[in-house]
Amino acid sequence: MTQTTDKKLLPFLAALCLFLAAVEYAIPKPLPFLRLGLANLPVIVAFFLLPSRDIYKLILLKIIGQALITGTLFSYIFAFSAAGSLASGLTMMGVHRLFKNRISCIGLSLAGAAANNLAQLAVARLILFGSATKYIAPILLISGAVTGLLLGIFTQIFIEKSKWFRGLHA
Amino acid sequence: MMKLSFKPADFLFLAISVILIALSLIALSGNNEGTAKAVIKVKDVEYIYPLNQPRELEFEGVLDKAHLVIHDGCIEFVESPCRDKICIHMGQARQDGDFLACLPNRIIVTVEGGKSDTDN
Repeated sequence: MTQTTDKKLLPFLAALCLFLAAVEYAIPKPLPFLRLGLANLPVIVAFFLLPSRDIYKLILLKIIGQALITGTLFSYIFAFSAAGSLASGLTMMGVHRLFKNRISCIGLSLAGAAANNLAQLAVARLILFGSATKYIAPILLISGAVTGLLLGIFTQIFIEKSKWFRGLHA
Repeated sequence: MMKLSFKPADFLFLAISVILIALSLIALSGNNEGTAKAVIKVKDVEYIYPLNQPRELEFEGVLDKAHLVIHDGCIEFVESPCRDKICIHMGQARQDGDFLACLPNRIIVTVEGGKSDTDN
């Protein structure tokens, strides 16, 4: 990978996060916390393309971009989103380093989804629901595992079939 | 072109996800068992007492001292400095979800845990 592709790739993936956040924003949700997590796709893909320091940047850009798109930058929802994205990003980073080729996007996505939901539950317990958090925990964890699994499968298929990805990865 | 295949560590995280869900469900159902506790909120400070041990309690509310008693698995107000004594007339709280409140004196009691009747 040349230096120039490197430099273009980070903003490209960050822009993709923004775009997918906008797509996600347009999809109706039964509850505010039940989300597809589409904007995590570029982050997962990045583990196979970018060095770690750029992945940290991408996670930060994703958090800010997502908050701008959904209009939650200065609301308490930002605390949820930031905690979730950071936790899932760092967890996926650790998991990716630990298992390398023994894990696919599916496992990464599941690990990220679980970390995301645990972080959000922790924030919910601290600032919003207190001990009543246990009532939303199963819903959040079940939906997170399902969407995490689906997104992981989708991402896996994407990186296996995409010519763009193969061109960069080669 | 490869075909979609799970790798070993994927199953680990699938298992972790399922375990987390199971734990969250256990935490939810486990709530209605064990001993009931009275959570007493006095001017934004919480005190917690089990309902299975008899006890006499006195709290300094906004107005003055209120007197509560825990006996026979329930809690009730017996004396209160408030005007209408609604808190005393609310009687006894013993099941998960029951509550007593003395708004003038800012004392709120809720019962948490213990089997509630609605479960069966």
